[in-house]
Amino acid sequence: MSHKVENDKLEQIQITVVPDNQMPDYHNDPTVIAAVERARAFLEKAGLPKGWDKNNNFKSSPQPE
Amino acid sequence: MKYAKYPFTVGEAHTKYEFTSEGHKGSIIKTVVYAQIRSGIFNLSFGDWNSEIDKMDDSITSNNGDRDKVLATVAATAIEFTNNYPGALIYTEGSTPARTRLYQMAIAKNLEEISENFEIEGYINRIWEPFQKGRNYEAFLVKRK
Repeated sequence: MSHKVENDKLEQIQITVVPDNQMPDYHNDPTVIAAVERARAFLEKAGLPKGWDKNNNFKSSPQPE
Repeated sequence: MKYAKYPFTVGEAHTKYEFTSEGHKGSIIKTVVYAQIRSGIFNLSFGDWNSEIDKMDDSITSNNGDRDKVLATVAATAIEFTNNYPGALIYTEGSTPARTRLYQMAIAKNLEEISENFEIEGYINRIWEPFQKGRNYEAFLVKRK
């Protein structure tokens, strides 16, 4: 299925939607898995910006002085 | 974004994207993957797809002469992704400090236009702060306005 998204934020980019199984299983790619693990570890330590921490389990980070 | 963008293909779950960079080194398949870290927070992985070994390489520098168009396309995937996952936070960092700086330069170069759609925070000196040009951040968090 191919379509042009009318959303002006995408400025008429040609976007083709395909079944996920027609694309490689990127989510199980070792590079992606490693990046997610790094991100999780980073956010565990850094927390999230204040006000961005709703509906998840990360703490807020200290705020700028 | 003021730069042209490549057309892209997206999986129907709207978490994985492909497009083809066309430059003086030929055609290079680029992939962008949004992988959940925790509920509502996704990591953006971006790299070249090596079809010979079926593996993404997020450290390679393609030097295909179309960096701005490639990065503008990555930003477009973030719009498409957040159209489908409103409220999602997107975390990203470069796989190397050099690549993180590349992302930082790309954000800085397009800050005005990116800011129309997204709030961007950068992590520096152990705090998150609204993205500012000229600061060397370790990582970025983005959410759709």
